[in-house]
Amino acid sequence: MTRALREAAWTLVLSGMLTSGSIAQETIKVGIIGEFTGSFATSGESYRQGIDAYFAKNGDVVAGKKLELIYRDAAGKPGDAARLAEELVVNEGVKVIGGLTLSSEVAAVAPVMTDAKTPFTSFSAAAPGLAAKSPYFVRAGQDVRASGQAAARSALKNGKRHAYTAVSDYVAGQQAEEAFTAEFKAGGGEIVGQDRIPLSTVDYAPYAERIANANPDVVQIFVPTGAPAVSMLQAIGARGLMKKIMVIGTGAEAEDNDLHLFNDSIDGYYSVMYMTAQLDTPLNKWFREYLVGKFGAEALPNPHSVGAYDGMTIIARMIESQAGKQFDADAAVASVLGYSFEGLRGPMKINDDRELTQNYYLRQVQKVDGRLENVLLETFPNIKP
Amino acid sequence: MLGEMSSIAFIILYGVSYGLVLALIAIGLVVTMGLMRVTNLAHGAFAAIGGYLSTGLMVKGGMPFPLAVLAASLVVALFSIAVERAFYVYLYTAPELEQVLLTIGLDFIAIGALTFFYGPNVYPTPLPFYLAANVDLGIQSIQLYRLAVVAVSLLIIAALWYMFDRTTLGAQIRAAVDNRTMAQSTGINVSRLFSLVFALGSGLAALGGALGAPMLPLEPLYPFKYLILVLIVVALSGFGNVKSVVGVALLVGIVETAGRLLFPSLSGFMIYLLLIVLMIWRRDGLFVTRRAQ
Amino acid sequence: MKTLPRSSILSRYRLHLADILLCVVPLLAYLLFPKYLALGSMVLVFALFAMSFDLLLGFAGILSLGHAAFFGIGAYTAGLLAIAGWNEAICGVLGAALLCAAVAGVAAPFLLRLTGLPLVMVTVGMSSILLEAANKASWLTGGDDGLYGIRLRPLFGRFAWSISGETKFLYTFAWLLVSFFVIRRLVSSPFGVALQGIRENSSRMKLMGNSVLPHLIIAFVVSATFAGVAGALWAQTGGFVGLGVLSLDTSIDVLVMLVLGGLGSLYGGLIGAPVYLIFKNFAQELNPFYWMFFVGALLIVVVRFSRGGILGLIESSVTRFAGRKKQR
Repeated sequence: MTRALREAAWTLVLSGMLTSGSIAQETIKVGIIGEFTGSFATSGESYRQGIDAYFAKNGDVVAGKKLELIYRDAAGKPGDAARLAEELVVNEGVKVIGGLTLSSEVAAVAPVMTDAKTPFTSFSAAAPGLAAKSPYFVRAGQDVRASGQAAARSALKNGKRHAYTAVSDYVAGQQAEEAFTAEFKAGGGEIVGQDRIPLSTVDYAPYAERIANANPDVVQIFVPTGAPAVSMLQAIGARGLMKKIMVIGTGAEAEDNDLHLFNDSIDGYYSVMYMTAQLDTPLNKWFREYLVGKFGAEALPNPHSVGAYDGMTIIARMIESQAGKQFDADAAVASVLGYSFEGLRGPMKINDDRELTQNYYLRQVQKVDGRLENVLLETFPNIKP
Repeated sequence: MLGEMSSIAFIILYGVSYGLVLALIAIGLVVTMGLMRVTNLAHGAFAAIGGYLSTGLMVKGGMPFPLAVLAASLVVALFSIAVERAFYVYLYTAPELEQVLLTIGLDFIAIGALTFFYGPNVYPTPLPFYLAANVDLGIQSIQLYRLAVVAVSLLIIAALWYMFDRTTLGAQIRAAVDNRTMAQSTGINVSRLFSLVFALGSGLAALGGALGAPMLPLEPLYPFKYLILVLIVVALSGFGNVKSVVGVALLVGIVETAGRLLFPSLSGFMIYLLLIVLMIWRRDGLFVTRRAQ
Repeated sequence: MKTLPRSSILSRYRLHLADILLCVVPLLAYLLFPKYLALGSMVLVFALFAMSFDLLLGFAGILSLGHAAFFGIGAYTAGLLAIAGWNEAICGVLGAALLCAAVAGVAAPFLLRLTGLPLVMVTVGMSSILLEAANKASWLTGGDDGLYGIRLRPLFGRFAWSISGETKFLYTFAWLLVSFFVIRRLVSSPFGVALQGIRENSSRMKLMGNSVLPHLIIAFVVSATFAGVAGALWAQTGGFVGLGVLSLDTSIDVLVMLVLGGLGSLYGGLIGAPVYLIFKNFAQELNPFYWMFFVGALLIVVVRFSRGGILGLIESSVTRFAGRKKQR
């Protein structure tokens, strides 16, 4: 009796092994490090949406291999991001890493990736000069300097000559401010006030007051998404400034999926970003419909979901270039240099320094059919950082 | 000259409205700490829950703002009695460290719960149209909402003042704060008093959180974010001293607002510097006379 | 607060089971979990940090919510030394430790005149100011982006810092052992006894002729020094220092770790840190939102039912077991 059982068990095991062998396809593992908890949790959610859409459109097989994604939560802590990246490479054997919302995370992860010879691409990180930190880094997100420059250009074009800058006091805000200031002054404008607002601020009314007192005709803003953005913009709106002067944001303060957090005082708010939910291309239209259909009416395209989608396109390209051979990181990165493609956000090109040349768009919050929306006003094509 | 007048007016109007909301939240903690000798770091959680409930009632239940604020405060006050009976009774005789730890634990639970029910994002509080408009006062234009906050807070504080100074209950509370055993020996039911005072304090915190929500946006980390500010007010007021709370809170509100208006880059430091200087110089509190132990 | 039997910590030369476990368990982990060495190094760093905090809170009775300040100073110092070119690992740690000791030595005489809530508030205030200053001094600290590119010369010229983390783990472990035996020697000396006396009843100690403030200052400085060592190790093993090392979150984390493990015995932090961090690592993967909920509940349970933390639980079950054995 027991002998028969044992034989049956072995048969099962062996047949299981054989069948799994025949069904199994070669997989290639990709690590995604994002924020799924903590203050930036919404960006992680957007990553998942963007990646989901990517697979819906393109399937999960690239160059004959199945993409297996492994998610890790950095929860806004760069030190953890570095450790997680190490674990992904050493324990899970991932070949490429994507994600990384914060520039500090990219900085933390860079030496690890260089040591591990693993390509990585940031979906959202915005600081300039990130690509220089590691030869394996490719940018897929925003460059905050380009936004600052484009904002300055819009302001000058609209005849504004007296600018006030109010940015949150951290590296990203400072760089946006410097880029805006340089471009604005070069165009003949004058800076009438410059504020660096501590990140710990809860009541932004005094800053709105300072802006009002200085009487500028344009204000550049850079404030982190979430509570700071809501408080700052509502304070500006409460002071009646949104309609009086050009208030232009450079840091994704009021993306379409966040507009439900604001009241009507945000009507009239300008912003510059490398994507716009309104982009009139078939791909973007499909993306919008897909997101709203699958995730609800508030799931409009935002820089994170778009960054994730386009980032996946780049990762897929890297993997494709290694079709039929062992994955070689150096060759993979080399294969995307100079790569031009029509991304979700518009035309994109990866420069030789692994930074991104892309369009920047000027949008304005307007009421369309009773709903607040970021309406596309102007396109600044092919900005090279 | 007009510019300076306008700045001073701004600092006063905005600083006072901000300070009064802090006062509402802090009064409850001052009395709790003075009466029950409990370092209650979870006080901010009641303020947060009050704000969330009130906003939820407005947004989902369609309740008008004033009613929502009142309803939320009452609910939190009642709920806090349950919390007090479950957790805080144990803390009355526990050493300070355990009070700190257990209340931090309660904070964590509150944050987890808020994230679970409302998501990790900011929970925006819409202002009713009659409060959102700006009122032009000549030298300064201010949102009607802020004036309403000042008016309502002053009313509530006046009512509390009256209660503490003129009613028997107030006298009992003051007696128990000054000398608990003596108060007990005169027949005051101290444990019932504790529950009542705890409910009052938590309800006030909820009121502050709900009333102040358009100004201090709600998010799951609210309990920790404002904890420091509230503790600063409490520490500087001395324990059990309700009258000085208002003065200190106004001072904090005005210093914060003035700091941000006049020295924007340094404003992050100012409140902490103020705290350190005052703690070292007047550690019993700013306006306090000596008390029997 | 539960006091452990004096004999357990005062016998300097006896090796306890716990000491042997301390030496053996990490080595076992090293052999059994070669893929988790990065997590392991982090655990060791925080175990050291928690142990330094135990000296401050468990032995001297000083509740500070700003201990992360010294962790951060240590981390940034070690990081800056390495970036500036002095990238010998051990010197980096020593430099960090020295700076922390100096800062603590300057702050302590003023700070420690306060007690209770005012003390807690001032520690929070000071570490918040330090955090704000570090953010503003982004030319030095990298600000919000952080300090990166911390590369070290191979240890003793021979052991390279590989990505698989073996050198880092053993290096951190060595520092933990050294620190443990140093602190243990300190607390089982007359100084340590006096310190515990002060914690229990400082007025009585004063009446007996013991100077309270100098004892507290020394405890504070030593605690800060080892917190600095932990911070330096964090920078060296992670290769990166961000503003988070100075945050209130970090101060609260170390407090929770220590309490979980059990105060006042030095072993508490060594237990609490691994439990907290490993639990956190896996809980966050499973159920990110509920993490805070679980930690809060755990904290409440520990405070409510087991005043000595995990260590207290172990002790009471051991004594109960031993008692039952006696009855037979």
